[in-house]
Amino acid sequence: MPRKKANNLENTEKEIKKAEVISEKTSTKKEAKSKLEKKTATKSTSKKSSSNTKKEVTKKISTKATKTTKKSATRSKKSASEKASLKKSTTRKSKTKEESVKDNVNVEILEYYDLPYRYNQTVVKVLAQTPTTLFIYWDISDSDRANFVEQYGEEFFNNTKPVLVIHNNTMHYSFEIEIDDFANSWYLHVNDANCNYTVELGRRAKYYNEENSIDLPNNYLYLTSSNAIDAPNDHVLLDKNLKTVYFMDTRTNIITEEDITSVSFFRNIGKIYNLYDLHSDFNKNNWLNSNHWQLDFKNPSSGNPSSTFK
Amino acid sequence: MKKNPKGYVSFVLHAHLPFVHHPENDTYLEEQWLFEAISETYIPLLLNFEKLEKENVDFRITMSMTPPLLNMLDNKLLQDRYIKYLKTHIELAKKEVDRNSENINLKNLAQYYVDRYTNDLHVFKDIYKCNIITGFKHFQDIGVLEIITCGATHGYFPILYINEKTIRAQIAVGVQTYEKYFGRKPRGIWLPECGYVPESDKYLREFGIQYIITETHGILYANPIPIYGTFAPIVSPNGVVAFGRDMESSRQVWSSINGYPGDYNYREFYRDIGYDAPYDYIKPYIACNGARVPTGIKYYRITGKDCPKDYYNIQWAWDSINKQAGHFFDSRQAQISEASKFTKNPPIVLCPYDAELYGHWWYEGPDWLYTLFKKIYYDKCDFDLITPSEYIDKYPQMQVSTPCRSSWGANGYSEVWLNQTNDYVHRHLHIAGDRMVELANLYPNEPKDSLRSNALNQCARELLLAQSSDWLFIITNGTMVDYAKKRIKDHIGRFTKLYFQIKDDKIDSEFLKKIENYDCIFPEIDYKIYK
Repeated sequence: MPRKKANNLENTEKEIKKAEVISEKTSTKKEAKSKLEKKTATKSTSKKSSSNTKKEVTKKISTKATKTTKKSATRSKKSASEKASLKKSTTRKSKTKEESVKDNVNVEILEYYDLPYRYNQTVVKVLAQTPTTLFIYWDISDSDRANFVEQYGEEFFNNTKPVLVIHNNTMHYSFEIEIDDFANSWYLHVNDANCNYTVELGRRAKYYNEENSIDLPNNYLYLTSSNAIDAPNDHVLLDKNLKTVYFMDTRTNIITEEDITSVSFFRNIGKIYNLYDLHSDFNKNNWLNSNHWQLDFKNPSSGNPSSTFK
Repeated sequence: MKKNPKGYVSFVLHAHLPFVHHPENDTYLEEQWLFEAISETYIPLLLNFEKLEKENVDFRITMSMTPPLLNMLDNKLLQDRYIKYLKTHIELAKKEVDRNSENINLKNLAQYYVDRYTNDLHVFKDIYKCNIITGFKHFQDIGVLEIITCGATHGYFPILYINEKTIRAQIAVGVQTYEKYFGRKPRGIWLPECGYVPESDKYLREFGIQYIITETHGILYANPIPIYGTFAPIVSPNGVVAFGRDMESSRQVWSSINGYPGDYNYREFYRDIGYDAPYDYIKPYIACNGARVPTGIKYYRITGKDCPKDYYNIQWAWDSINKQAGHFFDSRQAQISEASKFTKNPPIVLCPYDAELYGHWWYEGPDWLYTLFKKIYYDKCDFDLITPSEYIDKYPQMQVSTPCRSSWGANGYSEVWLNQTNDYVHRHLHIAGDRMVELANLYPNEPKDSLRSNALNQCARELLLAQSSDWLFIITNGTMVDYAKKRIKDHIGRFTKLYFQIKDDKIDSEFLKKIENYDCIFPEIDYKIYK
């Protein structure tokens, strides 16, 4: 089942607000971008589409903002107040920035950067956070949005919902999850570690056989596919049928075959690793007969809070 | 070295700090990470190596020195600022001698700090001529220390590799930086955060890297099952040798409950005159905004749990060092004699740690290493110290198996560098990586030192700096978060600005000059590695 992290909503909202602030001031960048768009599109339609998309974006931002604040207000007071303060701080920031720009016309260039709100690309990417948790992020470019509206009508985005199709390319199965137009990333639990996954971004018709229905083959529209990712392995690959292993001489690169009658090391690991918790693991689970033995990660590491440098 | 030992112990210390360099002003506390590490870890390690060399004790140790650390140690401004840091500390310690003239314990400890910082200044300025890299190089050249490299800016491969060119560049620049400072090629690499993906194998081989270090399950979960566990290295089908961390020894040192650094006689890290001394007195020596921060002068020992802290006693600390070196020695002796019954070659027990654990966090750590190495050299035992390279040369036959995708972060995979607090960063890193590759292919042959090629090189620097795993780690960890977020914004911001300037053929040379001065890492970088 998809596990959506609460933060996603807040993040997108923060970013939207940032985007508002940016869009107010950095009109030059926008122009540059629309120039680029113009280059790719034909002359006659480009003017129309670019103005259209601009409208659409600003509309969306405002509706998104109000919707999300409503939601969060019912969820908890605290987050609402946090957001209020966030609003304040962003407006304050924008003011001071404008002032400083005015004051320092001839002074050294002031550096202040915000991360771009989005890159206006149709994209979906997948990363493996753990052996069974994928992180997926996506976006649909303005020009693609405009094309869909042109092709399927003004109500396209209202009458379809975004979905991710997860393909397990190792075990050859796929499943679909519904996502949310307000999110731009998602954490997804998968059942099988040590498999290759790709993710497809698409839209599924919301209404079937009704007046609002959209004419899509199989009620589905493919948008784009992700990179392939290998989810890590999460257990000892104990193979009782393993009869031979290969050895390489790293000086000569010559490979030799060796028979192993028993995996003596693993049979004795409890004795060799003089660790209480490992001992108890072995005794309790009779691990040699289980085929899913996992280590207990108590190994401290750079993730250890004791590392005070970072 | 011993004849026919039953097994080997291999210490690997990972020395790394993110590139922090602020010529614009000297109020960034983050620059002190370097100065504290030099005084508490790097110089103490050098002094202990020197002691062992003088006493003719043969020992072996491996250290990764990351490219950002090397660039900072070689930076004139940071060298000057370190000298200033030392002079301020000597001044403060002298004041402490006066302030504590009534209390003989504190007075002696204050005098100890006067001597210690004064000696640091002497070692840094007079012996190493402000560049301690030469010190480490010396010990590599006489054969007791093996230095390995790391990713250019400690970029975390399991997340970056969806654009493979970006990990190729991390490896290439890591190797180039190493060659510049050590005059030879590195045989091994510390993968940033031990983050391993098999996709990096071909690039490791391309740049001549022979071996990597992985977390325990990098070996134990490998495919097919490695029949000797972490007691023998494995070799991937592409020819990269992987050594895995030994669980037992790392727990002995690291455990927060009964690990060595928690001994009651050791110096207490959290009590510092930066917090304890009267405010007006200490104000010139803490943060310039008046916030109390640690100064490095600490008077107390850990003493116990929930009890008043007792004064630090150097002799008592030495007693614990000796006791614990003995414990470690006996544990390895027992472990190796048991493990050697099951392995074809003498087993190797690999002990990787953050170098800064030794000295900065565990103040007595460098002295503990010295004591242990001496013990291994003089006492009767069945094992010896070794470096991974020596082990490969001695026992070149190893099982073919692909290490498991893994890291040494909490829970063993990518959660530390990819979670709700920092996941917003990755799309920016990926896009910037794609754009860098795009630029390199768009301008494949810019003449050296032309404005455009300078801008392209600076783009590469900004991208690499944005990719440091440190920023993601800091955000997860919740301390100094604002600084880490600012660094990501600055590097992505500068990169993006330059990217558009290059593509629009409107490079602002003033702006370029300014950020070349700020982000001056890798002066010899060539953007063409992204082609």
